[in-house]
Amino acid sequence: MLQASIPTLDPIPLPAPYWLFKLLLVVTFTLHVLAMNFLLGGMALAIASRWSAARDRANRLFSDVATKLPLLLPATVTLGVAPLLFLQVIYGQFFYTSSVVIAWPWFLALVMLTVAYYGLYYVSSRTHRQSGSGRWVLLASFS
Amino acid sequence: MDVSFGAGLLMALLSILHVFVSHFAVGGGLFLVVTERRALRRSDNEVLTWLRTHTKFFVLVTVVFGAISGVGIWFTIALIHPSATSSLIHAYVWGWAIEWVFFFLEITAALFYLYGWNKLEPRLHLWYGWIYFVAAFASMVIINGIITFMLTSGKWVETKAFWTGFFNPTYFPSLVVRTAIAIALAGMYALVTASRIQEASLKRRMVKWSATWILPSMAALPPLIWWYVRCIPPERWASAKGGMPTASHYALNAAVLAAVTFVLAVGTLIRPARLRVSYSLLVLLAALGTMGSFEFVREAIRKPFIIADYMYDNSLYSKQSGVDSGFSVEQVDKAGVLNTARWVRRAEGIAAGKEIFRVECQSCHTVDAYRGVRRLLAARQWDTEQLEAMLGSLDVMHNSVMPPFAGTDQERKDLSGYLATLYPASPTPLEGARLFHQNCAVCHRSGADDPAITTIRSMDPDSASEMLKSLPALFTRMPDLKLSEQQRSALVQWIRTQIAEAGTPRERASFLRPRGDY
Repeated sequence: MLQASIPTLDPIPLPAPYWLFKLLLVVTFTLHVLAMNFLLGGMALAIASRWSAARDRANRLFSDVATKLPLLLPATVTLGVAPLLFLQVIYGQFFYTSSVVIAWPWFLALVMLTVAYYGLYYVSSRTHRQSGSGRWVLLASFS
Repeated sequence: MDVSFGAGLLMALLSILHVFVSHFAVGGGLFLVVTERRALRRSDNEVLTWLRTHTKFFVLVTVVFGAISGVGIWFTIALIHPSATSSLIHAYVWGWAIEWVFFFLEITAALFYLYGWNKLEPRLHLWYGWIYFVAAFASMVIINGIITFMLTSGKWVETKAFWTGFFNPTYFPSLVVRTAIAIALAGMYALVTASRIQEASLKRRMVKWSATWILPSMAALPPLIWWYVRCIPPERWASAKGGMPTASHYALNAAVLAAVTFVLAVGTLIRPARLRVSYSLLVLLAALGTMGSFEFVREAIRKPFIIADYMYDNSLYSKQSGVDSGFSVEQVDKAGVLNTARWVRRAEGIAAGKEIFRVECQSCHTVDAYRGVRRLLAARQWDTEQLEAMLGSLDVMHNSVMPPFAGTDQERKDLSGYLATLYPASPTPLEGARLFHQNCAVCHRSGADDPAITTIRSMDPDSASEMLKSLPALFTRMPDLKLSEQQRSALVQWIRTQIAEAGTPRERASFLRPRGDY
């Protein structure tokens, strides 16, 4: 039943052996996850230091981390594009099926990402109050 | 789902905004390095300071929105057209992979360039700018191959070779046109930051400098577009004319809006030192309209294909390719579409027809909203047999803008059955006249002065038709005729429209009066 609802893989033959795509997928996905963890951890740090009681040192930590966050987000996104490509090459039939099933949440991840992106630039450009912890909850949904 | 804001419109909005930004990402990169180089040579610190602000604007628009919306397009096409996405991914894996390398380089170089202002040594800073521009241009060089391939797949259909599809008939004209657009857009976006300069002489210089990017490249566009158009097979254009003139409509839009944009851009030179932000945004808005119309033309002439001569808009392969998943027209004709497609409810009769409509028609048609079939069919009044016959020639209708119907004869019958339920066969004057003379004229005169006629004419058609449901309830001596809903509305319509205001029936009505054979 489940098998029957998954379409067959695309008829155009692959231009290289399967293992090569698999390798590229695993390597680039690892890099993506690394960057994403830096980003998530960085945001957690930024939020914690913003609300920390030890004002002086926390402020320095905050401004240090906050200015780096706008670089970590594009790194995460860019490194996420490559595994998405290789994923579609070898597991296209499963990927398309699953993303159609969760179409709106999947699409909204990008909208939230854009909001988060501009939010981070905003935060880093002026080191005043973090504009909310809701933002990294949104980001967690993208992975 | 029948919505007017559907996946197609979402796709159009997203991709038009994306191309509008991504062309700026290419041309704007060149603008940054050329302007910086000039300013460095002249030790012009004023310009360098402005350019630093412009870089921030540039990065916030292109690196953030441009990059994310690009990924957004990918998400969207994978959702609304997985088969075509998969074809493009499989045929061009290495193209996409190389494009990704350039994309990576582009983003990295852009951020180095942004954060390098006043920190890096000027020559090194300029180098980052050049790396950015070359990478951005290279990514356009690649994506252009894939986009033009969709419109003119050329000999790829036979060879399936990467380069045959990549350097297809419209590759070069499209690349040159897009480069010219990118350069013009660089100047238009620069107008926005230039219009915010306070100091008059710097503002005058920068507005003029921006205009020198806009005007020559826009002036070069008409001959370049003409070349582009000449490389498109004439039958592609033919399909856009006739019943669905979307392409010619948008082509006209693009031409008019391009002229407006040009005139507005010339207008910035009248008083460059006093250019307002709102005016520069107006130039951008006109350019956005032009660009959107241009892309609409390209998409419209591609119909009925999503990938020219290979795959139709509804995911059907136009030719059997041996290893396909059986979703080619030829195979579906034999096996049946509901047996081949995966996500369908098995059904019979009208319900099956509805499923077939969803699979084969709904990629372009809705029932009531965008290109709604109810409206289209109600205007034509085909009955089930006619519908069935017409479905057999779908691919030659309207200059071949639609794919052929694919499926078994029974499925064609089911689809016709479903389509026929969408509209009531509207009453013809002939039927109304016949009913009147057959049933009513024995007692009622068909004149406007007859009380029954005047009553019906004073009511709205729906309640008049409702009233005729039970005649004895109106007047006990009238026979219970049990007219069908269609017959009643035919009768009401005839009474309302065909009987002349004063006295006697019109000529046409008397001509329709039954002879002895009724």
